[in-house]
Amino acid sequence: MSRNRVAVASLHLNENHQGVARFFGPFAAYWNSVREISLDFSTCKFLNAEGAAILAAFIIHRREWGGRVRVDWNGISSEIRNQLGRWRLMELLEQRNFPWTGNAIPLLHQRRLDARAVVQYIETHVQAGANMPAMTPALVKEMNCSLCELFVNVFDHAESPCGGLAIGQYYPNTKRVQICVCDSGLGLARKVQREGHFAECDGSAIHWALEEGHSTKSDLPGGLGLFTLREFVKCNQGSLRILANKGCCVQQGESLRIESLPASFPGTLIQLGLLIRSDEVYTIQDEEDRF
Amino acid sequence: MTSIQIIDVVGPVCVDPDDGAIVCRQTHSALERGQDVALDFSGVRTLTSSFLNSAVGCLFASYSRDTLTQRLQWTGLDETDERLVRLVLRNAARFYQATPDQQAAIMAASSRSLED
Repeated sequence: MSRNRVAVASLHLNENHQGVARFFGPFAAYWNSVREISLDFSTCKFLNAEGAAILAAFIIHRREWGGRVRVDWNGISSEIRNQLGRWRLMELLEQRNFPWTGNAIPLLHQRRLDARAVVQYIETHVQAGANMPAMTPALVKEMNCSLCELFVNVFDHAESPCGGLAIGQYYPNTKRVQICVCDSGLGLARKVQREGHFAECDGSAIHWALEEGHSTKSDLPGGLGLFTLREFVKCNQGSLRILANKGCCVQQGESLRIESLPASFPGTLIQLGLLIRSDEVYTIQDEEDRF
Repeated sequence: MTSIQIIDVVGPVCVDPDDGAIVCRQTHSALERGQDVALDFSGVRTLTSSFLNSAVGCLFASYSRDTLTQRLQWTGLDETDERLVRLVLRNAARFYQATPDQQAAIMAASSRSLED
């Protein structure tokens, strides 16, 4: 492997945080250096939405400082190439996209917050997606709110050169939607630690940010976006995984665990896994009847 | 009573904290004039805590909890959004009741409890 070639590994649907770290590890040296690199997909047999989000953030981030990303098209399989096209990533690589998206939820990239575009993205590419079952109004509403809250966080907190992006995939067999939101900023753990919390453990710093009322902003009340998202995931029996810096926090149904990563992710990557269920009601549990 | 139609002020997607600040200014002005305020969320399709923190949470900086209980109402919300508004207001009340030193102590204590 020559100095400027980066191997893109496979990243499977249920890959754990260690697998994700193995995926983005080879990119580490190139986020902010080496003007031209080439991606080698020859060993990549499957790519999930998280992998797509990392690739997209990597390419867009490098563009911000004039870096360029090429691909060795001879080594890429047609399946991976088409999937990149379905996700609308091919245009980032100056190639044509696949003519339709199928079960892919294509890239949404914003350099500044446009909440209406986020809502339209959910309506167009998730709710009305091919093979997507009918979603309850409650689920659509919560999905809109969740994605909007995540984008607000990117622009309020992340200091991300690439802005914020979302990308996803629908899995019809399991009726599960995976949506990933990614940025190339400071990283949620580092942001929390700058305020003096959990300097020794990135995973715990991420966990802190998920608690009710915890915010790094001291001038206004806040700290409810990630908390309400977490409550929604519990109700849905879905999953929420946040990778930032060298920490990882996973909410799976009702259970939460904190992990460390062997490699540092330069930003924040949030994977939201939701079940398309017809029976759920999403309501925050109230402590009191009135405020 | 001053009624503020949220959808007329910022549209049906209520997410951006900057939009929330517009609502806050209008609400604050009406309260300052001695009027009670009803925030009408009819027609709002997307409502997030980021918007509500700026729209109504900020009012606790100027008014007591009792005053806002008496003079601020909201309509046009379904049950889920109703609870979200209450969550935001409860959070804001806690935030403004605590002094900066108390806020720092609360945050430090919650950090220790997460460690345990």
